[in-house]
Amino acid sequence: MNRHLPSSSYFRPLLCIDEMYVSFDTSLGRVKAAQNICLELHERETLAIVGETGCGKSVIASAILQLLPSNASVKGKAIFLGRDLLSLGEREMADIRGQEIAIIFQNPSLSLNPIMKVAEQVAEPLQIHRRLPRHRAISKAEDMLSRFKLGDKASPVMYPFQLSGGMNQRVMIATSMILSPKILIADEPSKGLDQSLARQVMKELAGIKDEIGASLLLITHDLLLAKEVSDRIAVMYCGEIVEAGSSAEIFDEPLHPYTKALLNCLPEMGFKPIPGSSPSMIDPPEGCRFYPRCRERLDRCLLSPKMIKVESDDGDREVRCWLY
Amino acid sequence: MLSGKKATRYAIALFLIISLNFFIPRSMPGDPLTNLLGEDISLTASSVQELRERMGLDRPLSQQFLDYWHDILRFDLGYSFHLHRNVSDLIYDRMKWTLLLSLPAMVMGAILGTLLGARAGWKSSALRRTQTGFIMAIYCAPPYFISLIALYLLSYKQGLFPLKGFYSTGSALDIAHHLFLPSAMMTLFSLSRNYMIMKGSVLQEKGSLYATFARAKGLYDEQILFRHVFKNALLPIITLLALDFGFILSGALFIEIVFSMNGMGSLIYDALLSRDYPVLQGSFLIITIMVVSANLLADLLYSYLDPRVRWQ
Repeated sequence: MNRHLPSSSYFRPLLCIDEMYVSFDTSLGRVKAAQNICLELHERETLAIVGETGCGKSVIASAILQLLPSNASVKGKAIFLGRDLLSLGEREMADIRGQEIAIIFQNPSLSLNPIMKVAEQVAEPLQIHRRLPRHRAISKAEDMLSRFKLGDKASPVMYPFQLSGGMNQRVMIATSMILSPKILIADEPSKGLDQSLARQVMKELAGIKDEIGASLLLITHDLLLAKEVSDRIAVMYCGEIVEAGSSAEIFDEPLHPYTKALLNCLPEMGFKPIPGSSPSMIDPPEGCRFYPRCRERLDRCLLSPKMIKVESDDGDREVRCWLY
Repeated sequence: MLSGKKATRYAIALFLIISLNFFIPRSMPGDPLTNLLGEDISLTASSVQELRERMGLDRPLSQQFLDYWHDILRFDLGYSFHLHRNVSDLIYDRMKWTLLLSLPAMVMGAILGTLLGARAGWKSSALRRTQTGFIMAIYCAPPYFISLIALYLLSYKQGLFPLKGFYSTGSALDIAHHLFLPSAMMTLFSLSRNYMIMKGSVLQEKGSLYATFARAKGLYDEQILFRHVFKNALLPIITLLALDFGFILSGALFIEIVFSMNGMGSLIYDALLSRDYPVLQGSFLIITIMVVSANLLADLLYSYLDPRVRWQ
C-alpha cells in the first residue's frame, strides 16, 4: 500500500482494497467488471465512487461483502480490521455482514421481502446477531423507524408494497443502521427517487452515519450528490479507477479527461455529452480505456497508464493518465 | 378475509354444478328412468310405471327440479338398484376408508415434499442430485405401475404386507398393517409432485434481491431459506395442495384398485363398469363439493400467506 499517500483525513484507514479484480464468466465471454482497484476508506469519512451506469462500481460494493453471484471470480485483497474479507468463509462473512459492514441496495422495493412486515425486517439483524427475543427486537426496530419518519402507528406493521419507494429506502437504511456498523455501503441510494426526495434521504443517512461514527462508501452516478456528501471521490471508467482525490479538488480542478468530460455533462456546466459510447467490458480497448473517446489523446495512450500521485494541497490525489 | 363477492361466486358455482347434475340425465337420449337408475336394470312394465311415479318423473320439470334440491339438502342422493342401498349411506361408508388412506398420505406428502424440495432447490449436492433423480422417476412413472411393483416385491415376494383389502378385520393394528403400503405409495406420489414444484420455486426465488439483502443482513445459509425464501416459494404450491385436496376421494382410484380396497375410488370404478348412474351422480356431487371447497381453502390460505392478496 506504499503507493498511497498518507490520508488527508485525521483518521486511519478502516478498509483497504488492494489490487482487486472482479470478472464474470458469461456465455458471451469473460466480463472484466473491475480491474486493479485500489481504494482506502478511512474512519468516519464518506468516499464516493462515481461513474456511468455499467462501469463496474456496484460490483465493487457487492464484492467487498462477497455478495456476487457464483459466476463471479474475485481476486485481490480487501483488508478490514486486519482480516482479508475476500478470503473469509461464508460463516465468518455472515458475522461481519449487517454487524460490521452493512449495505443498502439500489432497488429498495425489491430488496425487501414482499410478505413480511417492515418492522420485522428491520428487527431481523438484532435477532440474528444479538439474539434478542422477537418482541424486544421489534420494539427497537420501531424506534429506529420513527427516526426515519416512519414512526406513526401504522407504518411498522405495513408491508413493503404498501409503502412508497422513498419509504422503503428508509426502511432499508434503518435495517442497515440498526446495529451501528462501522462501514455502510450505499449502492445507488438515489436511483428511482426524485431529486428532492433523494437529497432528503441522503441527508438523513449522512446524519445517522455521523452520529454512530460510521464510514460511508457511496456508489453513485449522481455527481452532485457525491459532491454534496462525500469527503473524497474516486472516478471510475470501464472497470478502472481513473482519478481519485478530495471532492473539492475533483470538482474544481479535474485532471483526467474523462472526469472533465463527465463534469461537462452536468446541466450547469453546459450539458455537453461525451462523444462515442461506453466500451465493451468483455473486450476493452487497448492501453488507456478512454483512448477512443478522449479529446486529448497521445500516441503513448495506446500503452496502459499507471495510477500516479499528483501534487495537491490536500495530498492524496491520484490520476491514471499519461498527461501527468 | 373472504369478501362477500368471492363467497357469492363460490355459492353460484356450487348451485350451477349441482343443477347440471339434475339436467344431464334428463336431457340424455333415451328414457330418463333408465338414465337415472342405470342401464343394466331389467324391470317389468308395471314396476317401471310404479318407479316413475315414486321418483316423480311424471311431474313437470320445474317440480322435479325443486324436489331434486329438496332431496339434495337432506343428503338424499337416491337409491342404487345394483347395490340395493341408499347412495348417501354407500358414499358415507366408503368415504371414511378413503380419507383414512389418503388424508395422512396427503399431509405427509405435502410436508416432506415441500421441505425436501426446498432444500434441494436451495443448494445442490451429490446426495440431493441423487434424491432428485429418484423422485423425478417416481414423479414420471404411472402410479399403478409403481404400486404394482411395490405390491409384488414387498407383499408377494417378501410377505411384509397383506396382498389386498383391509376393513373386515377390525383391530386398529391390523388396519394399520393393511393401510401402510398403499398409504406409503400415496405419500410418495404426493411428495414427488410437491418436491418438483417446490424445488423449481425455490430455485427461482433464491435469485431474487430480497434473498440477497437477507444475506447482506448477516443471515447464514438455510436461515435465508427458512426465514425468507420458503414462504415466498410456497405460494405456487398452494394451488397444487388445493387440487390434491379436491381430488382426495377420487385420486386414490388406482391405488384402491391395485390394492383391492373398498374406498370411494373402487366404488366409482365399479359403478362405471356396471353403469350404476345414481352412485356415479352421488359420487360426482361429493367430489364437486370437495373441489369447490378446496378452491375456497386455497383462496383463504393465499390471503393468509400473502398480504398482497389480502389487501387488494
